[in-house]
Amino acid sequence: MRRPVHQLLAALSYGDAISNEALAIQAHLRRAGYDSDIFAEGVHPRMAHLARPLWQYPDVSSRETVCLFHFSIGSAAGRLIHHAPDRLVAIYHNITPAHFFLGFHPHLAGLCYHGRRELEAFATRTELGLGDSEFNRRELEAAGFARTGVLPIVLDLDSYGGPVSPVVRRLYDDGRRNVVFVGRIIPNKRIDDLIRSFALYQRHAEPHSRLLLVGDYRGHERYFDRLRELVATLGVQEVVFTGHVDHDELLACYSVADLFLCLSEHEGFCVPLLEAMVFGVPVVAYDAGAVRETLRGGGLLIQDKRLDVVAELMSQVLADPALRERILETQRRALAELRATDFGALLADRLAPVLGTPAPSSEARA
Amino acid sequence: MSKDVSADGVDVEAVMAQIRERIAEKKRRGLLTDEEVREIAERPLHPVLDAHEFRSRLLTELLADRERWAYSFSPAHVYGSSRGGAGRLLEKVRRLLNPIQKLFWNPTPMISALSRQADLNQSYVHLIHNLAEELTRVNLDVQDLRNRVLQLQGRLELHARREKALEALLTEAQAGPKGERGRA
Repeated sequence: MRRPVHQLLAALSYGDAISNEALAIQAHLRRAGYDSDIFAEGVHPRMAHLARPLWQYPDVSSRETVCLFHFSIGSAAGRLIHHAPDRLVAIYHNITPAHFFLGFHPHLAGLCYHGRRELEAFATRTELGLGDSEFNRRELEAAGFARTGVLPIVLDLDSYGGPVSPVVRRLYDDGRRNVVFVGRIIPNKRIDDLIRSFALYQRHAEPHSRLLLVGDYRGHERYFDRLRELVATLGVQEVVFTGHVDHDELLACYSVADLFLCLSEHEGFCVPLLEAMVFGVPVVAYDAGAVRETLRGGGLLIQDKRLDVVAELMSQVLADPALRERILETQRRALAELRATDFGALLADRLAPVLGTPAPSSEARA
Repeated sequence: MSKDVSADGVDVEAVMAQIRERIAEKKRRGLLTDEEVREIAERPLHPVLDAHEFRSRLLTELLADRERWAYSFSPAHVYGSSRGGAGRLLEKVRRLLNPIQKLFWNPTPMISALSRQADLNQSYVHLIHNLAEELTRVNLDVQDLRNRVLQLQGRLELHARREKALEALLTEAQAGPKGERGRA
């Protein structure tokens, strides 16, 4: 009988980096001969055939089962696995500090606050904690996890070669300079700083420009409304909030981008940085959280978020082909390093402390 | 390496020197001022909605001066006096003279009206409190709905632009084969 190594998620979504990572882990585990299923509380209709409902998890739960739990705040999956007898590995994708949501989303602020305490409760229950960046691993260590490691998100680079939405491409490929940011419209991403910097850039460098903010704002309408007010009061033109986009539309947005600007103040990994590099878009990013690690030496990192400097830097990168080419060269090197990563070997190595050892006795676990 | 910006393989010092030079040049020419940068940077992003159309201090002011409206009134009050011992004597005299006073005017309806008013005041304050609460909530709801309308308007505009782009693509697609045929 094949050894069971299953995964537990709050949600298996379509096109989401964490969901894609779960699927990649499953593929590698199956190839390595393990019995591996994904159990999720919520499953996107397009992914229904790829996951089993959470309520079926007790059928496979046992002391011999290894469960890779993608930690998420306040989830039923978390409560279930915390009390299950399985050997537990927590995969941590970070929790945004609560203070970012205060005022804008008090409920989420509460969830994030309690989420960090919940993480501490998992520290003693978990055999191994894996962060998708060194930044996240350090947070696991601070939360009290005894054994930790880094399992970076490795992108399925082939998925970016698909067809781009011709409509979206047509819409934004109109000769304007497109400064793009991809990510949810939430306070820690500091979309307001993007708008402020872009306002200066548009006023003093390139009036024929556009700020394309690609990301879902549902659930964060209060923040979104304040951002729109900011756009109106600053009198910035062509700030486009696309809302949620399909994969082909996302690809189209990257394909028309002249610059990827990220001024986020808290990132546990930030997949869009890699995506921008895949599309050969120069990246300028604020050095916060795991951004530096994710960029792997690619792009330009800003340590000081002075608006006039950011605006001028945007102008410089967009106007100076030689600088742009040098930045793209750093990104190509980073991507080559990423492409050389053998995710299967990395996964096997990181899980070795758990998969390579027999289940500890109940006395030892207690 | 500059402390503002870093990148592997890029001469950041040179880039930053150029940037500083360009900023200084813009400032010299009056195109960019520190005030403008500060104004943009410090433009607040208020997280909490403010029901600014309602004077929310009104209720606080009313509740702060409780004695002005929360009074009790009984028939005995019309004879009362605040002058201590002399006042008590005065009160007795007023009561004794009451039948004579009643020959000139009837104080009973006034006493009853003031008593009712005291009771009504309590109800009014309760009512105002609830109204203030409701009005604030309604105000916030209106602002919220206004924002949602603007959101929808934004989406509608985006869809209109998409529609135009789609139409243009279709026109091109239809014109394409004809053109090719024409060329052939």
